[in-house]
Amino acid sequence: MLGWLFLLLVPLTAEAGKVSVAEDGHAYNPAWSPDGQWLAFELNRYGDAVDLYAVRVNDGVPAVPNKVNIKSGGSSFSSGVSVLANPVWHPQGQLFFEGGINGATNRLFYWAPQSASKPAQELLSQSDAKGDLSWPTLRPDGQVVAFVSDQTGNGDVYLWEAGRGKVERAFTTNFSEGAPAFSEDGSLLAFSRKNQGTEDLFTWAGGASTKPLKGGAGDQSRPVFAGGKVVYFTSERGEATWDIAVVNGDGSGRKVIARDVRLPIRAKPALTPDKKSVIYAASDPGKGHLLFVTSLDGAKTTEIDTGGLVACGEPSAVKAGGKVFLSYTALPSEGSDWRHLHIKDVTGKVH
Amino acid sequence: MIGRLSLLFLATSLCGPPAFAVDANEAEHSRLTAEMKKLAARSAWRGVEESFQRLEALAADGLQPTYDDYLVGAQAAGALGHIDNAYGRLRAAAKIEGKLEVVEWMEEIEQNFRSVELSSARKEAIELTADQMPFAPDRRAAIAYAQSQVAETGGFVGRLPLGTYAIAGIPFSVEASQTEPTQIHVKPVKISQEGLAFVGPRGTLGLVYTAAGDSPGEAYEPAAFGGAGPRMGMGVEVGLRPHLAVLAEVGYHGLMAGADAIDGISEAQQNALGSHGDTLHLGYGWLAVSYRMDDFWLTGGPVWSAGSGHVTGANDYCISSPDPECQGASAEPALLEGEVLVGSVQAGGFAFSASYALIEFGKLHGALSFVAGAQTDSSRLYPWGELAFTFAPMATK
Repeated sequence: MLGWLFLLLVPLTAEAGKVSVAEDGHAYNPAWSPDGQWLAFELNRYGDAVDLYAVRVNDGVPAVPNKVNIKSGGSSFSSGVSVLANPVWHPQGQLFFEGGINGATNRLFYWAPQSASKPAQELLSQSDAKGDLSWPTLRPDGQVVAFVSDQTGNGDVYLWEAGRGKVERAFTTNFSEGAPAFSEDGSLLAFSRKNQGTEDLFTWAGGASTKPLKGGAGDQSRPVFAGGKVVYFTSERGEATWDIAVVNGDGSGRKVIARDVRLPIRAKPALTPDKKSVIYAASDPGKGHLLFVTSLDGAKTTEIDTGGLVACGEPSAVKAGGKVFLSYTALPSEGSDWRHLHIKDVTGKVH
Repeated sequence: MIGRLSLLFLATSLCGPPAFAVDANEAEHSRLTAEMKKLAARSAWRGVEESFQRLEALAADGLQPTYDDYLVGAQAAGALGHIDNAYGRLRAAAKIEGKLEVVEWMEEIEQNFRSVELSSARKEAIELTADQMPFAPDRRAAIAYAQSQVAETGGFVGRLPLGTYAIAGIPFSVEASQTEPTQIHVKPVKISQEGLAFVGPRGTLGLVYTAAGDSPGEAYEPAAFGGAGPRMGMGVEVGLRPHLAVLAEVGYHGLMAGADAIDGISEAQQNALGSHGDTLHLGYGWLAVSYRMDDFWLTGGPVWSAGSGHVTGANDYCISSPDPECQGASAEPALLEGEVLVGSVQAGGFAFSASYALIEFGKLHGALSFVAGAQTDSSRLYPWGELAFTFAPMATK
C-alpha cells in the first residue's frame, strides 16, 4: 500500500519534462541560469498581461515555479496588469528583466532566486535612466548592463556599470537601436538598428562611432555572439519568412545556416552550450514536433524529436552536472489552449 | 437631563476617543494606504516612506498598520537604504502573518547585511567608500544612505551589505561571521607634540638650466651666459595642517657650459687666455610654503644663492668701448671676448615648484617636479628651470 501511495505522490510533486504552472497562459522565452539550476520564462496570459516565472531545476526535473512579483503586498496590487519580460541571468545567478504595471513606464528589475518571495527591485531609478527601458543584456563578466531607452524618442543603447553606478549613453544616432549583445570578451557590442525602413546589424567597440555589420534586404535582427561570429535572424527572403544566418565579427563570411525557422517572440537565436551550433524550430507545422541543431558552419543538422508535441519553439539549452538540458515550449496537441514549457535531457545530441 | 448628558459625555470621553475621531482616523488610514499603493506603483519611495510614517503615527490611536502596509513600508525602507527600518517593518508584518515572503525577506537581510556603528571625532567632512558596489538595488541604496549619513553627520549606525569599506581612509570589512556591530571611530587628525600634522625629510635631485643675462652697467663684467647643470637639495618639510606645510632646503645649484670657438681669436690665444667655457657653482637656501591637493603639490618661497663663477668673455660694454675700466688679463680689446672672468655671485629671488606624487616608499612620497626660479645679484637676472625628482613626507590621513 505504501508503495502505491509513493508512486501516486511522485507525479504530483515533480514531473520530469513538463513545467506545471498554476495559472493558464502561453509559456514563452525560457532562459537558463548559467549554472543550469534555474529556468526563467514568461507566461503570456493575454489581456496585455505577461508574468515572469523562475523554476528550480534539479537534474532536469522542475520544481514548482516561483512567480516573480515586482511589488510587495501581492493582494494589494493584484488588479495591476503587468508585463514582465526578457529575462537574462547575471553570472552570479540573479535575474534581470524588463517590466511595467498598468501601462506605466517600462523599467528594469532585479530578482534573486535565493529570496524568491521577495519582490523584484527596480534596478535603475528614473533619475538614473529616464524613459521606457528594455532589452537588458549583461556583459559576460557581469559588471555592465546594456539596455535600450526610448528617452529621446528613438531607442538608444545605454550602459550601466555597477562599480561606477553611472548610466551613460553608449553612442548617439538618430536611428532606433535594439537587441544589444556583448561579445564573449566584452569588447564589442552588436545591436540592430532600424535603418532605411528595415533592421540592420551594427557593432560598437567604444567611442562615438558604430560600424555596419550586416545589412541587406529584409530585417537582420537579434544578434548573439558565438566564438567571434555573430548569429542572427534574417527575413531577407520576405516578410514573415525567417532564416538564421552567421557572419564573422568583421562582417565577412556571411552564411545562412537554417531556413524557414520559427521566430521566437522575443528571444535571440539559441546557442548550444559549446556555442558551436544553433537550436531552432521550424515554421513548417508538419515539422512542429521537432527541434533542430545546426552547426554554425551549416555542415551538420541534428533533429530532436519531442515525442508528439506540436508547434515546438523557443528553445534554450544549458550544461549542468555534466548533462545538457534543452528547454522549449510546445502545444500538447493540435487545438490546445496553451503552450507549455518542457525540459528534455539532450546529452549526447547537443554539446 | 443636562446633568445626565454631561455624565454621558464625560463617560464617553474617559472611555476612549470619540466615535467621530475614530472614524476620521480610519478614513485617514484608508487614505494613506491608498496613497502608499499609488506611490509604490510609481516607485516613488520617498513618498511611500512619508505616508508610512504618518500611518505609523496613527498607531497611537489604536489603528495599527496592516500586513500589507508593513510590507509596502519595508519595500520603501529597503529602496531608500534604511535596512534597519525595513527589517523592523518585516518583523512587524511577520507578527501579523508569518508568510513565506516575509520570512524569506528577513532571512535575506540577515544573510547579506551586518550592523555597523561608524563615528568620527573630526571636524572636517569624511567619506565612506565601498570597495565594490553590488548590483542589488537595496544593497546599493544601503551603501548610498550610509555614505550620505557619514558625509552629513560624520557617522552612521545601521546595516551595511557584506563587503569591504573605508571610512576616512580607514579600511574595514563587514563579514558574515560577525555577530556584533563593526565599530569604527575616526579619531581627529593626529597632531604631534609640536602641534604639527607631519614632519619629515624633503629632498630633490634634477637637471637645471640657468641663464644669466647681460650686465647693463658700464663696468668690467662677464657677458651673458647660460647652461645646464645639476641641482640637488635636502631639507625638512613640516606639515602645519594635512594640506599646508613649510619647508627649508639647502643644496647645490650648478651650471657647466663648454667653451665655444671665438671669432677673431686663435685656439692658441684662447688657450693662453684660459678660456674653458662657463661654470657656476652655487650653494642655495630655500624657504617655502607648500599646499597639497592630494597628489598635487604647489610650493613657493624666497631663495638665496652664493658661490663662484668662471665666465668666458667680457660684456658688450667693454668690448665696444675703450673704457680704461675694461682692463682684464688682456690689454687687447679684441681678445676680451675670450678672456676668463672669475668672481663670486650672491643672488636672491623666488622659486616655485609644482609636483605630482607618483610613488610611495615608507613614509615618503616620490614626486615628479617642475621647479622654476628667478634670482638677481643686483647687476643681472638669473632665471632658471629644473625638472626634478622630489621626495617629501606623507601627510597624515
